[in-house]
Amino acid sequence: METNEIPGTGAQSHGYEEAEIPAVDLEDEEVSTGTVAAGRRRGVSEWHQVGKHLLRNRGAVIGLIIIGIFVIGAVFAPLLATHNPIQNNLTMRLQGPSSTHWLGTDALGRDLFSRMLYGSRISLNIGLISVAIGVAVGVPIGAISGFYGGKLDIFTQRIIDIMIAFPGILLAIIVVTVLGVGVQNVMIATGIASVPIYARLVRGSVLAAKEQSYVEAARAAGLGDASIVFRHILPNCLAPIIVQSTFQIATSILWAAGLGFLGLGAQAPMPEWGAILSDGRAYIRTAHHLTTYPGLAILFMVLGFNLLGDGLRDALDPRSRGN
Amino acid sequence: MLSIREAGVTEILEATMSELLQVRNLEMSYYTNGGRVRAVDDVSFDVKPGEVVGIVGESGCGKTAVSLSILRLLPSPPAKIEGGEILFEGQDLVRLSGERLRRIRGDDIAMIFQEPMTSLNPVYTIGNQLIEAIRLHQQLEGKAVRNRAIEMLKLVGIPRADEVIDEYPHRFSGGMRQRAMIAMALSCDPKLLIADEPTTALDVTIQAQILELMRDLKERLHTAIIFITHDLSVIAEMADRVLVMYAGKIVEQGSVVDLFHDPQHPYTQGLIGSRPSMDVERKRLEFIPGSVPNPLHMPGGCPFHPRCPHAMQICRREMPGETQGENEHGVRCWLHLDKSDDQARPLRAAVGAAEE
Repeated sequence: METNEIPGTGAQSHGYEEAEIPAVDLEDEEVSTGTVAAGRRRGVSEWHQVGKHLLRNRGAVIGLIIIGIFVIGAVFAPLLATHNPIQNNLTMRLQGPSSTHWLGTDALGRDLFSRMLYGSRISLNIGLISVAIGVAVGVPIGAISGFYGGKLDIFTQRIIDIMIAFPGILLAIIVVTVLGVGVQNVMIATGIASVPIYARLVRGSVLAAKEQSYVEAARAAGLGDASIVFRHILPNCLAPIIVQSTFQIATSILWAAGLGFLGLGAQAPMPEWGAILSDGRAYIRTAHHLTTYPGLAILFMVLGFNLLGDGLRDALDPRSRGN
Repeated sequence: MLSIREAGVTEILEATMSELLQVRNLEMSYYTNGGRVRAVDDVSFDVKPGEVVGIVGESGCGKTAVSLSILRLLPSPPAKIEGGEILFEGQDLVRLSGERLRRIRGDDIAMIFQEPMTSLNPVYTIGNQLIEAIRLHQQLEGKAVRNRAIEMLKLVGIPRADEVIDEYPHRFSGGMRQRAMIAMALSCDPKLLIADEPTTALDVTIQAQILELMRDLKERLHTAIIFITHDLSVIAEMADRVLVMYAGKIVEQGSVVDLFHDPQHPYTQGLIGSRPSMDVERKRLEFIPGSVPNPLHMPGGCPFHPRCPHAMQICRREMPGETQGENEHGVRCWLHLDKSDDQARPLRAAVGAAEE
């Protein structure tokens, strides 16, 4: 057996005067320098591997491309826009797509393409920030509730029940009503509306993960509750959180569009997709481009995030990554 | 062997001082919806430094409950330690809490679990997990931690340790994972290692390798081991002393040689009798009739009496105390109380055993 040749615990071993500790051979020195280099290389290749796996997934690549297009559009909106998005031109009302107005104009003669470019800034922001709020608040609540259980869990979960009983958009409307109308408050509102979803989701995953024996092993190794929850349990719940987040970005954009549609979100003349859609509603028979293009934009952004989320879930899991 | 009478007072005092772990009258219950389940009932035993103590018994007899009680890993509720003490180097673990308990876990007392397939966190590399364990209890920094981790992997016989350290657990076989678990458990030079059925999930050849490894490490590091298993051959191989548990009680304890050559309790006799033997050809294996009693409806008196071939009237009414034989061979059975009333006195608490 190999055990006969293996070196002893070496210099770090203490308190075993009687133990026969084989002398540490010089080989150890070589090994250490070699492995540190290897470790550095592997640390890089870890993310490299995730990236490689992601790029091998066709759906994820399509998602990345879609999101990429929207991000480029949002970042370079001032350069790409053909017109001023809030400049009225009443002589050019409700024009269909043409070479000057690529996607046509709205009821006040504003260029739809330019408005949608600027609108993607708002929608992307709303999606990302509201999900960040939801994750930052919902995940710890769910983790603590699931990990400690007992009365704390019952109490938290009943509050979550109450929140879930409201449809998300209704909850967002309530929050906006309390905080006041505006894009910032829409972000906060959609964020708060997604908190119960994360709390419930994470609690379930934590309940399952905390029964695993690696959690018991971690406790036996002397780890505290905080490191057990955040280092050992939550990383194992990452897959559902990521998938939910990509859906949630999409949902938040939809909610924000809905709030915009209801007049609770971005205020005129701010070009937010939901608001554009809402304004175009009256002309759906005569100028359908006012509802079609913003609708398609929302659809593709949601699709892009969903595809990316699916791919990320697979790529981040070392088990499904295989070789 | 030194008989008890010959040993002087000082030697006895030294003997008691030198115990690494003393479990005294430990009582632990689970409070379930169906009622209270006494999982550990008046259990007392000692572990000396460098000694391997085996705990055997059928499933559900409280072996694991004892080991989890020692590290206080039982979820509470439903579990509750209701009495007794667990003295580790004189410090009562039952009364410890929070920070001080965590410092003992993993550092002085480490544990290996039954399921090597799930005892490692799937989302971290082996090295990551080893390094975490080492950092937690040792004042090592940067490179030194990693070197120590590689050293530990080599110690447990993992080939190409410096490469394998960056692998994820799913690429390890069961035997390699168990080796990695052992490496992790031993990384902080624990004084006591609790191994809860460490070989049950492994196939026989790997079992043999892991047992060989543990024996080898024990010799080298002088770590005391509590070895929990339901496999008597593993116990015979590994243990210096054996505790036989039934329904939460220790029914017999003694040195491995005494226990196998001269089992006193009908349950132990039954266990040993039901092993397959290479010398005698048998059509069917012997077995102990009946099954472990439902812990919610424990029979009165000795819990083994419904299955015991020698059960007497008194067995139904009262649980006997411990009868101490030669060589710290103790048994809790009425058979031996009747037979040897004069020589062996029943002991209420095992503490008094050595001193008298």
